[in-house]
Amino acid sequence: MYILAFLGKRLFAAAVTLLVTSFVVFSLLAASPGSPEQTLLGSRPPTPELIAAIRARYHLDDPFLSRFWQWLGDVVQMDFGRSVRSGQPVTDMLSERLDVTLALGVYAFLLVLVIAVPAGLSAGIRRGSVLDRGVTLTALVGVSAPPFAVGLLLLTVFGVGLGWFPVFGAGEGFAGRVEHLTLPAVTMAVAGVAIVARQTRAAALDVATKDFVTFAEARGLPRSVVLGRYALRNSALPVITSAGLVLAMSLTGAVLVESTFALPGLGSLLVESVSTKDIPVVQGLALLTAALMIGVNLVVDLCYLGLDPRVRHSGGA
Amino acid sequence: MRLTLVAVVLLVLAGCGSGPAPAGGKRAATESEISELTWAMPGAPRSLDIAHAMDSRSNLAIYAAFDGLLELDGSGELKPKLATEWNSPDPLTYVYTLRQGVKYWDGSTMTAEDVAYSLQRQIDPEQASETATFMNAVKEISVTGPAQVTVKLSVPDPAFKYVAALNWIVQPKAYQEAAGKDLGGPDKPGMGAGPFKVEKFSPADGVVFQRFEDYWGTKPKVAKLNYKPIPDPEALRLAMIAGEVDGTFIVPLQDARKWERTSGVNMYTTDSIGINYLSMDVNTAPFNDIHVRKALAHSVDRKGLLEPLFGGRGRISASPVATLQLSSYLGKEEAEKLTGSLPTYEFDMAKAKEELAKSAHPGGFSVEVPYPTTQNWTRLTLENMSRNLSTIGITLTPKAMTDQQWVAQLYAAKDLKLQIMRAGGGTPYPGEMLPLMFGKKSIGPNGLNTAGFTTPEVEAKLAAIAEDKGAIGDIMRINAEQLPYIPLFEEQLMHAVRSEAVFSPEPTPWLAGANWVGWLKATA
Amino acid sequence: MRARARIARKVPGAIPVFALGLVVIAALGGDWLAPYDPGAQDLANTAMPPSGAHWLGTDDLGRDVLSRLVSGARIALLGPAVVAIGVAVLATVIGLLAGYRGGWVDSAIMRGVDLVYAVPPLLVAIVVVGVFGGGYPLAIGVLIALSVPADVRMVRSAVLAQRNLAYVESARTVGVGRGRILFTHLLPNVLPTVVANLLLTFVSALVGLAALAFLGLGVGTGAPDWGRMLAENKGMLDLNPAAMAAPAVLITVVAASVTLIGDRVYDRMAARGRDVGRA
Repeated sequence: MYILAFLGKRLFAAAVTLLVTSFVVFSLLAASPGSPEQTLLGSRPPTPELIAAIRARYHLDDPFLSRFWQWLGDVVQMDFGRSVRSGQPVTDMLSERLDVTLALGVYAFLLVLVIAVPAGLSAGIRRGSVLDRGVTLTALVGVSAPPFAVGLLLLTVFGVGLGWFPVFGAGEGFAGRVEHLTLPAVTMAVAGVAIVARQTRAAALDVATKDFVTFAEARGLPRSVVLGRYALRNSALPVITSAGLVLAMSLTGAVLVESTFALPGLGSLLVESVSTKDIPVVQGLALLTAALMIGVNLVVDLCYLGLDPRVRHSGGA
Repeated sequence: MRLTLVAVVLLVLAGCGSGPAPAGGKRAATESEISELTWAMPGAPRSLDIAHAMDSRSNLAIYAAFDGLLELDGSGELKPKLATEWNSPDPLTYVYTLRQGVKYWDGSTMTAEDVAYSLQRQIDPEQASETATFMNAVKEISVTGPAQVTVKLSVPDPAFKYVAALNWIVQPKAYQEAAGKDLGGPDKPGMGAGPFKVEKFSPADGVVFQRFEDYWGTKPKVAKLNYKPIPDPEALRLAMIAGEVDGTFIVPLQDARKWERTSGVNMYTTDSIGINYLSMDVNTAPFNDIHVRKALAHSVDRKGLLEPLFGGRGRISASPVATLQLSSYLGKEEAEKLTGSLPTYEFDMAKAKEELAKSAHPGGFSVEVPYPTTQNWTRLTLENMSRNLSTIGITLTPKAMTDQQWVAQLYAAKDLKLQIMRAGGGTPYPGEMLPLMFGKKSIGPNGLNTAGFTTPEVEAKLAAIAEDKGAIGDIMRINAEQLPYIPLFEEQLMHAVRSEAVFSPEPTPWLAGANWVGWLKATA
Repeated sequence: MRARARIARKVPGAIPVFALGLVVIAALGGDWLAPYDPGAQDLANTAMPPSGAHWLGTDDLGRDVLSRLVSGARIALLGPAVVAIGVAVLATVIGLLAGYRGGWVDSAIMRGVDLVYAVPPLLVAIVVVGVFGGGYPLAIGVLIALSVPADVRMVRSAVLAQRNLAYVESARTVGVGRGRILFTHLLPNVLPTVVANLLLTFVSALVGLAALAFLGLGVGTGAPDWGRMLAENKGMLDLNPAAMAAPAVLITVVAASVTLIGDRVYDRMAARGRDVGRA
């Protein structure tokens, strides 16, 4: 029952967020200088008839609110309109790109979990060891380095220098995808690994000093069991929070990585569409990325609920 | 951006009579097959419908696969393609005789109705075609015989004849009508009569072309062509080094030095018809003062900038008309004589100071100059000018803008002051750009006369441009004396091909409308 | 959070302070310390690799990279500092308000925070650049707006933890005013969190401003900004790698140093003050 009320509340909030986001983006774009026909037509000064034709085709002369209302009405019926720049349905363009972005985001996220959590945990447990120092220092550099510089470094060393990985494109099929997306995913994961490893380590350190762990060890439970059962579970909250953040970031904020590795993802589409004032596409992207963020945040909160009885009883959210 | 892109868009990949630099280490071409070739461009085509794809990346993909009525040869002359001959009995009439028995990719045969419709559609206001601006003069297109199409103009237009090479891509009428708005998109990419079939088109991931075995003309050696988007120039270069990409058009000239040193890659350099220039609003202070304009003209180190901006692959420009257009019109010698006779303004801060002292602003002034971030040469030129001008009391502040903002402020035609830009035509006709850059008609919003420059003499010369060969030279001279525009550079274009393949023949000056893939051959 | 202090102890204390000290000296000395005029161009010697005359080579207009780095130190520290302080002040005020007042004020603020959370930062940055054009003040504004929500959450939860503790309770019962409770009782206890976060915000702003420079939203053209140099010199990787690598390394070193110093500051302040009540 409680879960249902929680979900209902969240869904309502999500709908409001989507509406506000799309309205703000729409207004900003509508208010910005220039209009799409200018970028479409090039240096040949267009005749007034041609401008009128293009403006009519994309309803550019309707009043602002009526355009937004029209757009919203179409969206409710799952019609996201057509791109001004290419004339294609927005949904087609997005679904094609989403594929790459999702694959990249999930890959980077998995890397973060697989590398950061064990590294952070073992560093936290073996406090002061060489491993701990190594993890701490690497994490420090990881959060501090500009991601695009890291990407270019990886590309130059592993793509071109050693030739281990392909240097552009998203690849075909599962194996191709994995091969092509490895370097970009690693680039995106670097900062994430650093953040999550730091969090995990801190949480593990915290937990390690707790009475129940000392007690468990005193009972003679093997260290691995203590770790797995107590430390991991108890340090899960901050880790999930930062992991969620990392996932959301990789799903929506990959434009620099996409450009470095020439990946046709959502980020590069966003940059192109904003620069040509392709409102239907930008709107679609705004909705999609906001929905992804909301989805990830929701999953994180649900994990909270599942993992920590204290949160569950205090009312959550 | 499109302003400058258009120069590229219209693809003036010109080798210019004199020809590109000798192909130093290029291996010899063979007649063997190339089973698969990957060609990269900064972006995927927007659309494969010429009416909605006015940019170079889309155009080049279209020209690779689709055929138009005519094409341009190396010297800018029109040559037959889907039309076997054409003539213009009077300045308002153009008659095209069509090739017989040409097959589309689906095996059906090209008809005169298809040809007429393919152009008709581009002037239909319903379509809002981006190419319609090239066809402003067209009054009527009609089928005048089983293999003949006639176009009537309402006013003479010396540039119209190039439409048949650049824009008149032929597709079946039925296919175009059935596709409707989807024409050129992934579901209905098009149905051409050119040397490649579109196997798969994705605006995110590029195009896969398959050779069309029943092509009416000479079949290319390349069996499969992947046309891939790689937006980052450095990523593209690395992909070529890694062997994942075989070639690309129009690499950034600033990187020329780097590309030259890239082993396993051959470079091809050709002229372009773009002009890089500064524009000054002659109607507002301080640029209404000729001495201020001359001071600015003396303050650009054009010679010094050629290397850092274009890797030396460009020349200092003296007029708003591209050398290439001028020589195709007047002949190389005449063109050189004309250009050589124009007054020039060498880099000399002492002279700049002198001019400024004579002006109404002897103490200097401040000006903000917008530039599009995607064009690195504008930033570097402005930074150089800014530094030079600071020594004579002028504060020039470059202001970065996105392409959209930059084009918008330019076309809004408010407060233009000092502008830096690149523009160029798309045809060998040198009169193409002048009516846009000069004269009353092009002043104001959506006009390209950003200097707001008009005099009775200029208007008279513009009116005579179609008949009087001397008018173009006169306008060039007026510009050099009055300096509404300071011509800066003519950039070349540089293409890269991995050494497994070569261009044979080398890229012609006029790539627009050409089945360029046919020029790519395997090396021994 | 106690763990942070222990991370800090892994690196000898002098290193980050020394590294940051050097940058601060460069920021104070500015052009006076630079071997060349950072704006001087030499078109005949562009994109040259490091040499005796130019220790880090030259950029695409023949300017001395080392001089530009030194001269750019000031803006490199100043921009993130403005972001960090702005975020700290805004987040503290809003967070205190939300946490202490509770009720509709709290829920209004938190819904706003949730909203900003749901909007992808990149979307905001790109759309704002597209609409308002580039510019440094705008970049600073965007970063502040994007960083405030996270800090508000943190301050609010710190306040919530304190609100019902005995000392606040008793202050309230003896009739201490709301404002005084906020500023004399709650603020000092929240301060360690705020200060530690201030330095973390500095770090993310430093890296963030560099990323924004990449997207064309940053300091004015021609200014020797590290992020800008990184973006502009990217194409010179083959000719003069130092032109790109040096600003990247500097950004990393400053960010890492500030993170470490932040950890220590947090440790000291938390130890001196009362128990902060945050895990």
